Amino acid sequence: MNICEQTKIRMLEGAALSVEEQKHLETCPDCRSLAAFAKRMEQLPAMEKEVPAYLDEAVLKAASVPVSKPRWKMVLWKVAVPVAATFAFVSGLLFYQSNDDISGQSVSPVKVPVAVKKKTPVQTVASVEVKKEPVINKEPVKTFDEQIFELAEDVGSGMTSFSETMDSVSETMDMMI
Amino acid sequence: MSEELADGELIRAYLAGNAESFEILYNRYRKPLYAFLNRLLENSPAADDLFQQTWLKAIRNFPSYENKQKFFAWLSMIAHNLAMDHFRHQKRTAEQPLEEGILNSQCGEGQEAWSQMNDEEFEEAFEQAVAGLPDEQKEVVILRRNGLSFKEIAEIQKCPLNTALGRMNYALKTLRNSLRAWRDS
Repeated sequence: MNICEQTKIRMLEGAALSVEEQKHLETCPDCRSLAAFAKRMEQLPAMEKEVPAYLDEAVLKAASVPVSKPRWKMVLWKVAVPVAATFAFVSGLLFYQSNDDISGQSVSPVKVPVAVKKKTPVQTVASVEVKKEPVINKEPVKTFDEQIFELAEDVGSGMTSFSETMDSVSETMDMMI
Repeated sequence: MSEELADGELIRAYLAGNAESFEILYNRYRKPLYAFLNRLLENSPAADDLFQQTWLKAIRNFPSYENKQKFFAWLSMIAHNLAMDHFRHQKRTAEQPLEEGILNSQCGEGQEAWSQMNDEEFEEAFEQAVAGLPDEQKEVVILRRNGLSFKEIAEIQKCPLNTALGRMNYALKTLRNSLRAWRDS
């Protein structure tokens, strides 16, 4: 872009001219002419044209019908979709967290309802808090609870959901007892 | 309803059910819009149809109007898009690229004929000369005369700011030459 073109563009833009551009403006008749022409153009009366009456009538008639705002669309996009997305995300998170807990990869404690055999032959279902601990075979004899927990882990690893895992554990317990 | 209300407030009032506010808004912009379309379409009868379509589309899109933009710029953008569709339909060449070197207008003298004209003469010659400009340049001149900034014009024409400025520069050069010829004739 040469100085002449640059000066013209800057003038049209209404930007302040640099010293170099001002110098050029003083010496260039074409740039001065353009500046004066643009100024005269701006002084012209506003561009208006009388609108035919039938057009006024048609537009105002159309405008008298209330604008049907797409409310349901707005609700769908602004509320329902984000809520559904959040629900799906949280559900997914809980699902994977639950699976992790059963397979023993998570460190958080989890309450697993299991059937516990007590001294009496009557079965009771209790909620036993199981803190995840790595299963280490230090002792050759495992307690009943440890055996149950191991079994639940084995079963749970092949399951796709927490509820399925729980069902399987319960069935296995029934069979054992 | 006050005539002094801003465009955005009038639109909000209209959407709230006040039909009178639309009438104020319509009366504010109907003439400039009609002039814009007529100049762009060279007083073709299609200008009437596009004028109506522009307002109908604007009414439908009022809920999405954001107050950040000047209302007339927003309205002009709708009119521009409809006009482009019309041109495409008419298989007219909408894009007329600037030729290399045209922007590099040479400094010269003897282009001051327009300065000798009185206001009426100048206006008449100017309007005739504008009608002969290529579409994009004509649109830049018309929109500029309607008080839009080059940034707004560039947004309407979906082009870079420098392109809009270049079109104006070239249009003014052509207009000055046309006015000299008009004077000579």
